[in-house]
Amino acid sequence: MNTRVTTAVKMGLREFRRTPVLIGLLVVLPLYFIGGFTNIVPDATLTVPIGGEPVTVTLSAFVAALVTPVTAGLLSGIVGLFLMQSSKAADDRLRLAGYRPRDLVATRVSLLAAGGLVVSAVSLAVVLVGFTPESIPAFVAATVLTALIYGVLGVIVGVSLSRLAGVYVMLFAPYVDMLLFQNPMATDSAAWTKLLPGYFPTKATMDAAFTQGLDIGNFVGAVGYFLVVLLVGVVVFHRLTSSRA
Amino acid sequence: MSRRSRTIAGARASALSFFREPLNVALLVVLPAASVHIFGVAYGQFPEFGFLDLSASLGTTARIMGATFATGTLAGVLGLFQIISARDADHRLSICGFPALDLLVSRFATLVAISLVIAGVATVTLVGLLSEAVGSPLFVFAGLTLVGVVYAMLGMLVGTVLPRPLEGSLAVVILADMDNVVASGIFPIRDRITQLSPTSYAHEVVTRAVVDGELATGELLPALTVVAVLGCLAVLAYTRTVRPVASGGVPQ
Amino acid sequence: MSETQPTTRGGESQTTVVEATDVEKTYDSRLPFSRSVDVLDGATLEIGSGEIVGIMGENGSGKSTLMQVLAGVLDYDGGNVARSGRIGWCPQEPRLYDRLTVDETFELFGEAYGMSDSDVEAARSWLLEELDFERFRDRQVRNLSGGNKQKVNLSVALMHEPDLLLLDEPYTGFDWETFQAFWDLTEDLRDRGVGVAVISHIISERDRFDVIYELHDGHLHREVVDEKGGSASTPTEPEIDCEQPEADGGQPE
Repeated sequence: MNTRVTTAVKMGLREFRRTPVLIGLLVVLPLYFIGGFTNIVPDATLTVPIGGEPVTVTLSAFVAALVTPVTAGLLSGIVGLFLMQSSKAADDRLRLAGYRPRDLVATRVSLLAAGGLVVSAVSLAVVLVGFTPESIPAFVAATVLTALIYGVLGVIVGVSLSRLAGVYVMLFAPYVDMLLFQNPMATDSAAWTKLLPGYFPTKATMDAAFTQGLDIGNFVGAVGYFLVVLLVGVVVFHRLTSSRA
Repeated sequence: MSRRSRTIAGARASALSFFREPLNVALLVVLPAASVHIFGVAYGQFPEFGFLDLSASLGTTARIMGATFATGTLAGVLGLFQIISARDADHRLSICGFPALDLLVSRFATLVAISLVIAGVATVTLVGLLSEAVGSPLFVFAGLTLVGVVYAMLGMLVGTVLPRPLEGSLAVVILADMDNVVASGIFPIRDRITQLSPTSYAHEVVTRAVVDGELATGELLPALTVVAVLGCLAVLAYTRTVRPVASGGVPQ
Repeated sequence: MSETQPTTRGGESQTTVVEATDVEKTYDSRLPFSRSVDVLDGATLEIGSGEIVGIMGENGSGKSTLMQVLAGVLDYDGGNVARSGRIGWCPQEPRLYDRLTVDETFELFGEAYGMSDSDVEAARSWLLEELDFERFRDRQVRNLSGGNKQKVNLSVALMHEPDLLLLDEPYTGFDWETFQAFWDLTEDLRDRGVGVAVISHIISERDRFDVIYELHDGHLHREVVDEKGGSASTPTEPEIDCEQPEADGGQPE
């Protein structure tokens, strides 16, 4: 493999490790969102429409399944944002020193993937303590896809906004998108909410959590959405890092 | 220069620092409206849950949550940035001769004044976006001001521990979110946890003002007590952070 | 790339390492009804090998912009820039990865420059000693003082033995010894045939430069410096065509 890319990925991972706010979020957010919310909801059951069929679940399980991709998306979005922000100024120099734009793109995509896997792993580790989805592999896949989609969105936001503004956006966006607009209990959602990033991942997650038969269309949709945002992200990043002289 | 004019000069400088940051102004304009609207639309998608014991409808409760969240977040970020900028700038001002007490008063006056502005914007937004008539907008404003002042003080305390804009903002926003959920009553949480929420009493003031149009006098004293306690802590934090020069600075 | 016949102070013949001709650069405002700023307006400059060139001008005159254009980091709107050889660019603010240590910074940029591990180690040893920050090699960049950060910043520009060095106020935060070491290093590089351009505000250092360009109203006014620090050409006079370098170009014999 290209040694430039492997060296830059190695250094990028070290930078992540040395960013206390990211480590802090990685520890606090899953415990708060997943652990906290699943424990404060009352003992009750509710009937949720999943894949068109009514499914009766406990409120705790419902919250666990819903909040896990939200947490992964939120964390991954912030990771993507930090990735972009920390490298913006110095990448110019790396390019001047000899890194080609595609080396930089490959590096950032690799770091994004690594970040997405780590945040997914932490979120899943917390949720699987008290909740067992019907299909663990599918639940894991749906969570990872959510993290990857929001990770790339974090990069795109990081290009366009300041660090602080970007954090506000990436903090609220997955929350509002998945927890509120994509919530299966929302019986009166507008059609435009299907265009939001969380649409396919949330359906895939709920499907994996509570039904035995999987609707593969949700996963295909989520993968497709990821590829589209990835393409947009790569183009945006490539334009930013291309030689302009 | 008199004490009054120094305080005004100090407060003006602090306020300008806040309002000249485009992000702060953008948040002040956008966040209350976005928060109230989104909370309302999002929770409005849900059927009324039988097990939730709310004093208002789910939609109204959600919009109140939006207003309190926006107020708390904005005021908390204000307090955070005030203490961050105070670390170096106020200490320097003190060395240059600005009396310590005047510095303290001007900073806190700024916090209260801008919290009033934030509460005002949030009140107008909430009243405008609620589908039913609000009982007493004035008492809503009072309740949201309490929320704002509480969070301005909390923001200062967060800034004392985490004097960095990004990390401190994250802490403030997450704190405001957690507190908002607990104080809202949407989830039937045990009372001893709810009582730990800094804004549970202020939240009740806002809710009663919206639904009943009356001032929740029973909640007012506890809410003001919270403000007083946090205020004392914030003064201590400010004094410790800024280390003002007591005698009035460098000889001329 | 044109070749000129000027000679270095050492007497060797000189090649041009970077030549900028009639460069224009405008910063457009993103807001409506706001003016755009013409930073460079027909700037012409030439740096030869074995030459130390000073770029001076008022605050906000566009010196850093010019340097970024010369480095190839910033786009320009008109004119032409031609470079030969390897470039080392030291920006005014330390554009580094804050959470990497000094050693890791050398490793990463060494990889970028295509240097072998042994070359990176040799460069690291040389620069850590030359600029006296060996004891900070395991420290993260964000935990360094301003002066030491600047040493790392400068080292990244120097480590690959460039043919052209572009230094934007490189000695910000340096103590006196390091400042002297910097100039010893620069003069050593000049004697090895490296072309060096330095943005500087320190007028008392004029005698260290072979040529001084003053940036004013988007134009560069060229002045050859004699060995006593005075002018060996007449600078900034209306009748001189500022776009044409002096016919004899270099130092008086």
